[in-house]
Amino acid sequence: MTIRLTIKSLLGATALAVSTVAAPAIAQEALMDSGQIDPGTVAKFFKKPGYSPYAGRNYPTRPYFGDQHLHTAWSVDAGMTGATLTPEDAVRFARGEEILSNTGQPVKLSRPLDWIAVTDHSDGMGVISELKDGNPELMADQTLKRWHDMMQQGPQEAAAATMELIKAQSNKQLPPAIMDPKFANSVWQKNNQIMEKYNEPGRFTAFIAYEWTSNAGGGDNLHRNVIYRDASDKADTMIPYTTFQSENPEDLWKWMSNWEEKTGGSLLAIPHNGNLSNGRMFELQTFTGGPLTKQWAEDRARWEPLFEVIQTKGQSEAHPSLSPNDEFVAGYELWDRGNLNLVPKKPGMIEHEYVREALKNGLKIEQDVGANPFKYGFVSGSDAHTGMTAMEEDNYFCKFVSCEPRPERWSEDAMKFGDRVVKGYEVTAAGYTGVWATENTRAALWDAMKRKETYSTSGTRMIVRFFGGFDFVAADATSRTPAEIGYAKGVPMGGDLRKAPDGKAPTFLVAALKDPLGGNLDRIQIIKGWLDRDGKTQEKIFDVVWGDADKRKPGADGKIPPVGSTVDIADASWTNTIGDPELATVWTDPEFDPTLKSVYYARVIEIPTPRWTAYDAKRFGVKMDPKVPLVTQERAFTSPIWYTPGG
Amino acid sequence: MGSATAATPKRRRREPRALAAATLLTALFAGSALACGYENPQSVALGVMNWVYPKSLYVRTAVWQAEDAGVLPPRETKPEKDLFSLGFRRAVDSLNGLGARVENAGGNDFHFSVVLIPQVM
Repeated sequence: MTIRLTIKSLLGATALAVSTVAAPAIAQEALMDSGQIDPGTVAKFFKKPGYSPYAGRNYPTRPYFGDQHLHTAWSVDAGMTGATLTPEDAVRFARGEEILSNTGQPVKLSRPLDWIAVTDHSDGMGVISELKDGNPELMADQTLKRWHDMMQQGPQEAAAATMELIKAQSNKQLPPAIMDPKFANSVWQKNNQIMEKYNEPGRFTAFIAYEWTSNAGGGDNLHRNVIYRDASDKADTMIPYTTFQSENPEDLWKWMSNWEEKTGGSLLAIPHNGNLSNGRMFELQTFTGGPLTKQWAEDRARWEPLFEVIQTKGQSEAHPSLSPNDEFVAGYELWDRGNLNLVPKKPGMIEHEYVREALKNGLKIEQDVGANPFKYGFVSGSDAHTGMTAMEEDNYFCKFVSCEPRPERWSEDAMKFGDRVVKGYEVTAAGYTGVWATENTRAALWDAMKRKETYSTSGTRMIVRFFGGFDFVAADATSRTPAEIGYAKGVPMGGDLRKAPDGKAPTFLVAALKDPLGGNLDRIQIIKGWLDRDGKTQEKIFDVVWGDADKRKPGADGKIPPVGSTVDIADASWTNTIGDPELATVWTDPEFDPTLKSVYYARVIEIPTPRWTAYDAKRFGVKMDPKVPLVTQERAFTSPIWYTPGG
Repeated sequence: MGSATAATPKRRRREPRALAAATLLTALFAGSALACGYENPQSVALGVMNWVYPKSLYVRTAVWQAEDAGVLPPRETKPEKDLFSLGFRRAVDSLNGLGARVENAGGNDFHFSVVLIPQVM
């Protein structure tokens, strides 16, 4: 936010051209040293623009795409379900290299990603693979060394070693070295060395990260990905926090605070899959059932600036039962039958699982206790347990090794607990995160995440800008460089608007450009949530700009008619003959009440394109059950912008 | 799918070890497997096979690729129902017969793999 404020101050107070901005270091210094910037003083330090309108810009000029949630064979559940690819394989793949999948299939991304966060489960990280590979900490134990040797002698001996391991586990006689923090430390440092090896500032970012996997004792998904801003010199100093220590998120925050205090580094945590938490992700009480307090709300907002909106286990944006007027939520990638163990949901749970509802409830909590715990920006991840973030619809290697490409994968069980089943076709090909950072480095990307200048996508790499302010005018949407106007007049996604000027309503500059390999754009919507005068939460969806505008007009209900479909399911193809390649507009909230708290985010919808199931049906020549969705509408969700009266 | 070696009677006696390991590992690591919501004993067993028999899942990929290429007969789009596990019994008989023929062919050093398609497991 520092950068934005500086630019805004400069431009709002003077006639300086937008491009007359300083290097970030200078800008930050100016902002911190003086509450009110004197234009005359500032002008001395800033160069006037030269011929190039792009020289000297210090705001994010492009989104960096990546996946903040990926598991490899080092996660026990991934390893035990057949994953053999390591964190190193995962990073190489994300960088754009071709590799062999866990089932022996050559695979490569359509385009390299810009960054990756490998987030193996901290519980038991690397145990299986390290035993097999001969981790020195483990090899100091005679039994473990013998098992390791047997694993090298062939399948029969490996099986025998496994049997011994099982027997030791059941008799509670596992060698203590497996539980020794020294072992966990050796795995963690090995992970961090890999990330250092592939982290290439300016070209590719490999975050140091892990997943803290709280199931609240019974499959209620309270998982958090912990992302490090720093390098291994700091990360190495402490092993990751595990749920062996606690399943309470508040204890994770304490651990993060302690880590920051000891190292001087920075961490953030990203919750995911509220849809599988059976009402616990955004519950209106603490983990132990206590009342929410201002301190609790501030802690959550501090440590968890982002939420993962969509991934392979479905979307957690909104649910049809909560948003019955949202036609783009109905039937879209819903996993709403139970928690991680498929324990069925009870009435009242869904209300506390989806982030749109949480955004609204956050306003109410803020009114009640003085802080908003659910002030989330949006990201996506794959949560793939294969080591491959292969989430493109036509290049989909699924969540588990068992559903890497095969003719039968759509019809098999993806999750199964007794007679409770999620079928293979229900697994979602999603998603990636766009980060508006000033450069491709750990620090710049992490800082952008912290300030929520991010957006979530279902796997598409469309480019989306979203700014809020009080002074945008229609002509601003015609600029080829909307960001210059956006940063000058307002705040970017993730930002705050406070105290509307008299007679003015929030205006939003929103622009989207299609993924070069993807579908055209159907529409951009702005979704507003607010707290009404009675203290009740409300929401409304506005279609603000749409493709084929010459042919499509709002209906009596105010909704834009469907864009249609060009999808040829049998051929798994489509044409970009409907929709528009880019959309931009300035929208003013027509129902704004300056005295009410509100929150806005943009959702960009693509035209219909083939879902991964359609590609499978064609490539494998299989006929799928009619209930299998074969068409999707890819989408992006920007981090919100909040309005606070009087603030 | 899995991969098992059918050769001498001695080797055949050891085969169940791998399968038992796979099954028991499913139970052993159930808690861990639940980490991201995954409780499918058959698939976990397949995963263990990939660990005990490195790259064994490559074989399953090779099978469908061979079917697509016409090297193997096309897969059945609607497999018949396996009443009374007759298919399993046929597979066991075939494997026993194969083992006997290999044994008769002589030599304890003769090794090869038999691929079991998922339904068999």
